[in-house]
Amino acid sequence: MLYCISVSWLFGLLLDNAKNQATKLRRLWFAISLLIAPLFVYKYLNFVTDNLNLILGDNELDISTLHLPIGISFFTFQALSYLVDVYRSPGTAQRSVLNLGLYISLFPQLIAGPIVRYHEISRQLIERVTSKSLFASGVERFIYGLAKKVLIANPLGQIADIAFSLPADSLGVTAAWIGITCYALQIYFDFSGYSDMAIGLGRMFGFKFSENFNYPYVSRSIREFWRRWHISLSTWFRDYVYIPLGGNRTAGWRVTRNLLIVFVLCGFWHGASWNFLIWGLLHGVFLALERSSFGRLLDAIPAFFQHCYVLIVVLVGWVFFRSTDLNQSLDYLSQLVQISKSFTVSPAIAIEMDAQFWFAITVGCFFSLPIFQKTSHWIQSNVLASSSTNMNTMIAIGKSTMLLILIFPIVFEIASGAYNPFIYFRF
Amino acid sequence: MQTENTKGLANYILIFGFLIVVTLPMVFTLIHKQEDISSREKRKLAPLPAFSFDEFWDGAYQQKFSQFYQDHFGFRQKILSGAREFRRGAWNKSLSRNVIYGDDEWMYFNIDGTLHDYTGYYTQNSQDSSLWLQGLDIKNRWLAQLGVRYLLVPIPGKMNVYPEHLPARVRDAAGESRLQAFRAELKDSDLEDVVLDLLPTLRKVKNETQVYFKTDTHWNEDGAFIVYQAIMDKLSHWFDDIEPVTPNMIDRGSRMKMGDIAIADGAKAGEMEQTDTLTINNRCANEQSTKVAEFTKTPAYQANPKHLPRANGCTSKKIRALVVNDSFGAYIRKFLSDSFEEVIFMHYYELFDMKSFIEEFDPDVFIDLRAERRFHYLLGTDERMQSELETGKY
Repeated sequence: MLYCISVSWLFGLLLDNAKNQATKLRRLWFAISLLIAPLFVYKYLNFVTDNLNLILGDNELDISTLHLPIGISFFTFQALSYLVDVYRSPGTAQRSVLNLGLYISLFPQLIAGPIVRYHEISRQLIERVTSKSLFASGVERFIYGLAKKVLIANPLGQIADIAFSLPADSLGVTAAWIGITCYALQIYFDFSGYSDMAIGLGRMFGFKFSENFNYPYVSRSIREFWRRWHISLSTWFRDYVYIPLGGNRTAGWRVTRNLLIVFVLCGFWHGASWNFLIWGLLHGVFLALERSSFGRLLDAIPAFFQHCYVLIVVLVGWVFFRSTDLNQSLDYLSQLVQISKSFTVSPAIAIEMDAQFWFAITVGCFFSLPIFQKTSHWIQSNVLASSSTNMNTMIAIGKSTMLLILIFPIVFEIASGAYNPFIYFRF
Repeated sequence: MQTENTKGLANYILIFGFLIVVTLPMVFTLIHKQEDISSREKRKLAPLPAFSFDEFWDGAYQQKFSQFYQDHFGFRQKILSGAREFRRGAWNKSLSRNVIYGDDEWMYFNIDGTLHDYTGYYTQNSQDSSLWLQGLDIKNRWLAQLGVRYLLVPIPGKMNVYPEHLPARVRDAAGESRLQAFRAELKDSDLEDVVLDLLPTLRKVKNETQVYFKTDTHWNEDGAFIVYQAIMDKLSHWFDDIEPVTPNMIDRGSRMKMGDIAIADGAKAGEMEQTDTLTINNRCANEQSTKVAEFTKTPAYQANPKHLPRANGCTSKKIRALVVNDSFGAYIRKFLSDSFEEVIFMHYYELFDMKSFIEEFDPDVFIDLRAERRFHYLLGTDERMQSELETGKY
């Protein structure tokens, strides 16, 4: 990270001081390669050598396993964003290495995003407002995020883990669908929970981070899905890769090419494996298809079927995303369509479907839809706006109290992971 | 203005409440004296690791510190108690992943794949039960060559004896367990006589007498006595001189007990189960069994020196027995001690490694009491025994 900060700071100043456009461009590319190099070495070198060994048929290229620095994908992308923004807007280079270090190492979102863009945050690095109400709003957001992670994502993740660890023959169609549904909810509540915590922590310190999720599972097209899912990543790719490639202002086939390039890169950004590549490619292909006559057909069908289409594509994508390798993905997909088999839930899954699971999946489904958000907005504008001050006071205090009460089950669930009895004490 | 003030009060409540929750356990961790052992979890807690740059760079220090913090964060015991109550109330789920709550305060332990076994996971996934008979046959013939009768007593797990108290989701997922597969293989084979099937007996009597503890993995004293009677009944077909302890020789009492599952669940001292105690009138065996020092010379002991066998018996009785048992042996040993001239109780060892000891002790019968979750371990084929049987060199 220190390397990343140093390179970004130095080349930011060099970009600002460049005498002409050609020098500036050369410096930008050089800086980008310097920033990408550690990401490549830590995250992708093993993947490349493994595949070269496969192609060459020997194991001569042996790279000892490197520990991946935590958050490297996020802070590298933030550093790249800084350099491209400086390149595009002369005179914006950060003179203070400390301020730039703060931007790149900003701890709330360092590990799991959202990816913060330099031009969005440059002013806040120098002058930001902190207040009691912002801090309280940050606490509220943080608690919601932690609750999403601990009370919804974690229990559903246990079911998904079992489903993906079972031999394909033991899984069966029902358990396969339960497993992938749990995973879809797990990844959403886990990731959006972390984003909420980052946004909340940011608010406590006076930073305003952009939203990262907006109910992605209500989308009616894959295009809409990517406007709602990991928004900071999709907009990063849009602004720094897709548009520079020509975006959608080029001939039809070039748009398709650009989409596929962006989503293959997006897949690889998530991890160095063929599964991530296929996951990205799958989304890229459907995005390209939606720009063709298939998209027009999709627009014409009822909304219910549009939702079904998106959910099926996304769930199939998650199979590749969650599986450890291609064989496992294909085995799992084969179980999803194994309708000739019994619909009985695999015992390994059935025994885990306890009250906590039912709570998590019910609440998870409910909160993956904007029902609560819309209802609270409606109450805010139609009931509370016209309520007496006393009523508003009571409600505000009641809400704070409820949030504090919500911390208890969260703490209990986290603490339960620390309970580790020695089960053989009798023997 | 008033709205701002009232909103301010709500904000203050939230901010201070949050800061207290976040900081207090950390502060308490720093100022509180660290415990070394958790009586609740029956284990040694992770110590504060000494800092070293080597361990820091390879991540070992962070891992150790994380374990330390998990074991010592402020108000840990109180938070764990709260967590236990919360999980029990909200999800009917234990703090421990190994404990399953049933109805009517019954508890089940999921260790050594008990639950997987109950659902038939192992029998569905290439566990070849037909090979077990081969292993059993070799063991039986090998012991017969030494002049010892072999009796295998697989002890049915609590889930199989009392499935009706399991949560419906578990009960409905029942499949063919390893023991059930073994029983099916055994049926009509020559080896049926070597195995004592306790499941029908225990299931039959459980409606009149509770045979397993509610909060413990094991049978209670009533269960142990019923199993003892079944063993004696079986032996009476093999030996003429069996003189068992009979029900009219038993005095009943009662006591409170905290079961091993309740302990693993983190139960409080007051959460104990009342249970009957069975005492033999005018015991002829000693109250305490004695350690068998000669066994220390055997390779079996060298390989596993933790448990030294113990001997007991009644000089007035005739039969000599060697009993291999696990924690289920606890309540049955006193009855067996009063039934043999000499009986040696021991934990599991490689049978072949005990050859010289068996020859020296010269038992009439070898009783293998094995918990269901582990009984399949002893059904492997020992190639050394097989080789002796094939070559005829003993």
